[in-house]
Amino acid sequence: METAMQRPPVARTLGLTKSFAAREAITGVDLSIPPGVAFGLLGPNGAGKTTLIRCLLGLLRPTSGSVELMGHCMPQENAAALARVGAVVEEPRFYDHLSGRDNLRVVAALLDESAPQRIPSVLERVGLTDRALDRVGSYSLGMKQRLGIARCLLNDPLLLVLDEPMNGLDPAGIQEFRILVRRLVGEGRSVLISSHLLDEIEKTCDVVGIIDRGRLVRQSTLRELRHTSQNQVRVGCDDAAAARKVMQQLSWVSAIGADDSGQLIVTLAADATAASLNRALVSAGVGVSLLQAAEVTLEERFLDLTTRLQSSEVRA
Amino acid sequence: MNRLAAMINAEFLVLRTRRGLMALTAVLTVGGIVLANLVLSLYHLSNAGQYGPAGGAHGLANATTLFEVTGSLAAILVGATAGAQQFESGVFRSLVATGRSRFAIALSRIPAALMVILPMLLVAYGVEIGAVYLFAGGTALPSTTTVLVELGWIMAVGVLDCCLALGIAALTGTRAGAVGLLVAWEVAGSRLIERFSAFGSWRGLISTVATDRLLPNATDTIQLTRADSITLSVGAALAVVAAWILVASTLGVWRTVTRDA
Repeated sequence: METAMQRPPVARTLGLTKSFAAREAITGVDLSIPPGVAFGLLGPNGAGKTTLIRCLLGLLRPTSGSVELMGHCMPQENAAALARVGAVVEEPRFYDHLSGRDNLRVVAALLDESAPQRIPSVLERVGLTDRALDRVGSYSLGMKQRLGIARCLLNDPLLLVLDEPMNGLDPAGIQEFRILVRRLVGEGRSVLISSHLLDEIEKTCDVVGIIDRGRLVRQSTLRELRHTSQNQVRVGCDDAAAARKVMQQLSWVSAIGADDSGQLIVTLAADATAASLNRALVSAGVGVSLLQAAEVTLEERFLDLTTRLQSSEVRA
Repeated sequence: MNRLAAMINAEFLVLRTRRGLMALTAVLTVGGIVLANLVLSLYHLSNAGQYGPAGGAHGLANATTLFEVTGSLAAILVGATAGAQQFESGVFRSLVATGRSRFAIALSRIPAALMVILPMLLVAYGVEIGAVYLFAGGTALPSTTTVLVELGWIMAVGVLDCCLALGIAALTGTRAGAVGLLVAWEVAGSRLIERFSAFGSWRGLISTVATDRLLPNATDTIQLTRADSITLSVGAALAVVAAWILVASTLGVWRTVTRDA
């Protein structure tokens, strides 16, 4: 992961702003997508995710700021930049009267000469070989999502941009999608997934960017995002009340809380360790079943970041 | 095969697989000619003294009038579909996201649409020529020159209407809007404007006036009303038709290149 973070980004924006009339859909976004990772672009509905993606792909002209895609300036070097990029923006759209295979033929005609030869293999990869000759109008939304990914793969992309790709997928479909994304990342490709589904992003992605009201409020690895700045330990034990009594006597325990499952969240002094806490509890006869560095969930951090932004705007 | 040819083929594939459009186009062109000849033949059979034979030079002149309506409508439908289908289906965004030039994407629609409408008009005209000779009933036959000029006129009107519809549909992004606008223009708008004598010889710039001038038996003087006419040479009429095609196509290409995807 660190190696990937050090290589040049596959996509980068600097001060990217896009306005529609008087309304700024995105404001001063500085985004950097490292190569070889699944990057989750998280944000509530209307946060500006799709506008950001459309600017990245040169589908919209930014009001100000710059976009660099695969090392090329957008939109000036549009063709070179997009040659190895596959994208599904918003819901995947097709000619309903054409078969899945013919829809791919239409797009392949615009790509390099090897693209039409990839049609059978990409259909196989997304599990649509059996339905390739059926009209797309008869496809379910999940099948259209898969066909959209097949369309993305036609140019053997180094970066896939998938906007809300899990919409309309059933649980099995979501799991298949997750496996597919991890495989693509395993092949050295980068995948940008925009979504408001925190759980799926948490399970699928390595790096996350959180966008809210058009501003990128945080970008980091999931590990960094979950990590708390405080020295906190999650403690599971056989007698929580006894454990509390023991810990209240310890000068280096500054706070004791609990989560929904009844586990204790203990804040230690900066120089204290979990091992010291374990020793103290066991010595006092408290059976310790879990001792783990406390992390916040993506949901907690997401709500924290987006709520913080709202509060600061209200104050302003 | 170069990329543009592949893109044209892809657009042609999208158009020719629209069964409804193809059926309607066939009905308007080939079907119209077959039906007209059938009805005129039945009239002739029922009362040969009052109704002449369906074929011959007179039959070809009747067919021209029919082509002007049904052939134009078919060309408008095909052109409007070709111009708007990428936008209405939402596929345009995916095509642009490939990085291929928008200019090439826009340009590939024109030959693809013509590859649909022109063969259809050609078949319909072939059927009509067969009927002209088959149902001549001893009346005068058209000369080879007339047959060829008539063919050229039908094709020119087909290209003009198809390109106008395509350009307007690409400009507005809607098929229905383009069809409505052009039908209104051809049926009412242009015919109304050409009656305003205050516009003088500027009326030669109206597309329908120019195509009327290109009819096989037309002369440089075009009678617009009983008391009003303008003069237009064949060369000028061809230039007007070419200008309409160029302007409409340019507008369609411009909008495709500049619109948000």
